[in-house]
Amino acid sequence: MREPRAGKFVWISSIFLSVTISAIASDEEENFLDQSLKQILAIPLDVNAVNILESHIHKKEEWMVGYRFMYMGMNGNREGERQVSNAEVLEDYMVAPTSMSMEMHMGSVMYAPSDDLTFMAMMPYQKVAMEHVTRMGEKFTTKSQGIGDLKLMANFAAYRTRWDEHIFSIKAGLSIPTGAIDERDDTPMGRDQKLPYSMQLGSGTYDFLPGISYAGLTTDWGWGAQMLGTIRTGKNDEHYRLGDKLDGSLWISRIWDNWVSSSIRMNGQWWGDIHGADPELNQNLAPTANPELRGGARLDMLLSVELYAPTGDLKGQHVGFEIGLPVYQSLDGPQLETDWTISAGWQWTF
Amino acid sequence: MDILRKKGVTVLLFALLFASGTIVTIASNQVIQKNKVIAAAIYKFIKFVDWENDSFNSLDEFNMCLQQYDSTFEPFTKRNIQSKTIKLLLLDQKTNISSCNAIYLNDSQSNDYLDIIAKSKTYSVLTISEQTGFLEAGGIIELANQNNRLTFSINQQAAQQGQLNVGFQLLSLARKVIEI
Repeated sequence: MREPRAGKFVWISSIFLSVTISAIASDEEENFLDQSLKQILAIPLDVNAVNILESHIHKKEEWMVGYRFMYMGMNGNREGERQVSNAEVLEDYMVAPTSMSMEMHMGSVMYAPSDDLTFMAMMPYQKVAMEHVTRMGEKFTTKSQGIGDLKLMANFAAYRTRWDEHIFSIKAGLSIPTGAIDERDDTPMGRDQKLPYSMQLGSGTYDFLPGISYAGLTTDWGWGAQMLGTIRTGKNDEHYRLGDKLDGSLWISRIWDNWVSSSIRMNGQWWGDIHGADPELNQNLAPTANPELRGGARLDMLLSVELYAPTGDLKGQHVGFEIGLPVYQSLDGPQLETDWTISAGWQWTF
Repeated sequence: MDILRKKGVTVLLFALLFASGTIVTIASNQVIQKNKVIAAAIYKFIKFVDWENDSFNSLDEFNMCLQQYDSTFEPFTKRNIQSKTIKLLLLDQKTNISSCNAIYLNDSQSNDYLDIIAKSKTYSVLTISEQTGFLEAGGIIELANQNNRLTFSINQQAAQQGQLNVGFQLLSLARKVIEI
């Protein structure tokens, strides 16, 4: 599977920024003493333990812009917890998916109208490619790309201790169906064929996004938990509704200094099957077109490193890298299994 | 392993390796942002306060007392305050409050602050703490966190009693001032 050129650019840029942040970090302690009192009072007291999952609350009238690149590699099929071969899939279907890659570029903007409330907007751009094999042994690839669904979120600090050692927050959001659900590509079955559910870029429905999160902090450690749900409403123009989704994370961070931390995170996801069906898709052709074979559950372990520039020319810049590997997955299959995920993000607070 | 052949993962591993290297080099300096910000603010506090008693002028050193050791205050020892070199002292049984020019009560688990405030009233000592109710108990500067940023309040009355003149630079940025 080849990584796209844009992806390489993201990694190289991130590493360059990391090196620069590392280089300036050693001088920053003396800089603190040389800054004016007004500048000192504007420095965030904690910078590294609060950025996981964009779960943090901003100061009144503070803005943040961010960009995150994510890449997910999927290879081979699974039914329940058991891996199944292409031959097994082809006993029941004409076509078997063999691998899939998903590349996502996510832009985000945050603004805090008050000290306890932060608004966030996120817009993804996705590129999906799926490789298949037919019973006749013919291999082919289908692709789709474009913007995904726009997400609007509000994050409210419901309870916080005096020095923010413990923060409980409530989230509420809405997913607006800006992503396409009628993507098409050429296949051996014909030109301009409707692509299956997993290759469509949006849900096609307005979805509610409720959530809660907790973050704790001590001198050297940060930890937290978050639950985020996706509740779909109605049916889209193609006569189906994606399954509801529940996403939960537990993490612990080691704060090495005010400019670097590393984290380990366990992320569990559960998602349901599709309700209804797209009449243009032949459910007997491939498992990806069967709405009853779309649900599943997965537990990933993710390791990350986050870097932050508290002062200097890059003040307020934040970069993070994360790699994830599934430790458990059970799928209503045959369905493509996830092999690994990687992401790199940049944020700028001002 | 197939995963190592993926170019993206190789680049990521390089980044993690780089970060691991930098982590090892700084592991001995484990202090967090909050401590550094507070230390820098306290440096400004002692810079913008005048000790008006005569005995202060005859001192060669400025004694900054801490309830417990905090390495973020070490850079103070390379600086001067009103032509005096700054010396860090640990506030224990050996150190008398009378020898302190400023005290930062940085042990949040300790309940000694009321006793320290009472003793410091006889001397010209700038007292600073994060304890809630510190000003009302007679302390001079109380630190607080407002949405991840440091704020401070000043008890002018207590400062005046200790013959300390708090500069306008502090009064103008304080969140709350208890007037004389």
